[in-house]
Amino acid sequence: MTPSVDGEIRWFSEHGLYDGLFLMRDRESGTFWDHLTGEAVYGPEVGTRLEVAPLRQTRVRQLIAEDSDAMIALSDRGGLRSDDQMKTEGLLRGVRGRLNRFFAGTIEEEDTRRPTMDLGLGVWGGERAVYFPYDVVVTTDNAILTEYDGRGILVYLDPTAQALTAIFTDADGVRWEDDVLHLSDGSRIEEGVVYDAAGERAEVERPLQVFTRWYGFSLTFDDVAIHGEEG
Amino acid sequence: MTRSIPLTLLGAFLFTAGAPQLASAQLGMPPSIPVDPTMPVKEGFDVERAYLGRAPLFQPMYNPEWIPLREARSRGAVDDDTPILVFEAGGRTLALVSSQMSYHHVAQGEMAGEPWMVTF
Repeated sequence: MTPSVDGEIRWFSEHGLYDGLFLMRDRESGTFWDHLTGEAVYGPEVGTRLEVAPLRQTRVRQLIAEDSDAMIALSDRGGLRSDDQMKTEGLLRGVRGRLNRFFAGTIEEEDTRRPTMDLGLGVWGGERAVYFPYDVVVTTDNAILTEYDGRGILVYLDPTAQALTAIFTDADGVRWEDDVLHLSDGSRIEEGVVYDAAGERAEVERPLQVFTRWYGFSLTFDDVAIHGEEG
Repeated sequence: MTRSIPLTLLGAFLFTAGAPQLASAQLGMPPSIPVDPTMPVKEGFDVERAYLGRAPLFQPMYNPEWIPLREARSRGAVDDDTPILVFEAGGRTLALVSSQMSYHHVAQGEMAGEPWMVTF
């Protein structure tokens, strides 16, 4: 996300809750902002939206394979959750959980098509936001090739990152060979890195996406489509 | 490294009952600001249902120091399996530790003159 309005940098922190999700506030104008879409929701900047860009979840091994010059910022603060809790396995343990009542108190009505704490990949930025449930991806051999906003899109469970990821692609078929995902256009994805048909590292284009709980995604976007379900 | 500034409310977030305004007071959380009827509101946003804290709920990570990821791994600050968040700014690939972001929730700074922000 780009933290500037009309070229002026704003400084943000989480300041509130709405629909069970945090709201940011910038200290310069006091405006409250949706922390997923970057849209101003209450305050002087309503009508403004911060520029958003894809944020990926992966693991150190994969990023080093992808970009050996990658940099990291370390905090001297431990997290509220452990590394194990932040892994997909840890997040999946919460799928049957409930939202605590403080968060739930900011929700008017949930979308009950999926369980509240269901885990999946939300893709947006096109005409309609689409949710790819984790269990649907897994039961589709860990890879779904479909269309999003008129373009081919691949949603897959990356074996290295153990997280759902989406990329745009022109391929019309995929197959796994061990942990390598081969695409029908001759490209392949290995340890999270995309190689073209010539074996060269390829640039990929990614849609806006978030690995998320169902309640958060469905309450943020209107009329969310669920992959694999009618409507 | 970021500076250490104590926070008070986080544990309480997890298992608390009640409507937002009431619970915030009971928990010693930052009081909510009164809704200003003259303030612009996005269409469809029910400001009466929101909890609008007067103070930050978490200490954001501002202007962090960046080190090569490989160096951080060599030091043992992270290992191969550590979950991270990855983004691009200023022509660089940048990462934040997911579990540390569960403390800060917002990180922000500039890389090669390009402002960036990650929310989690």
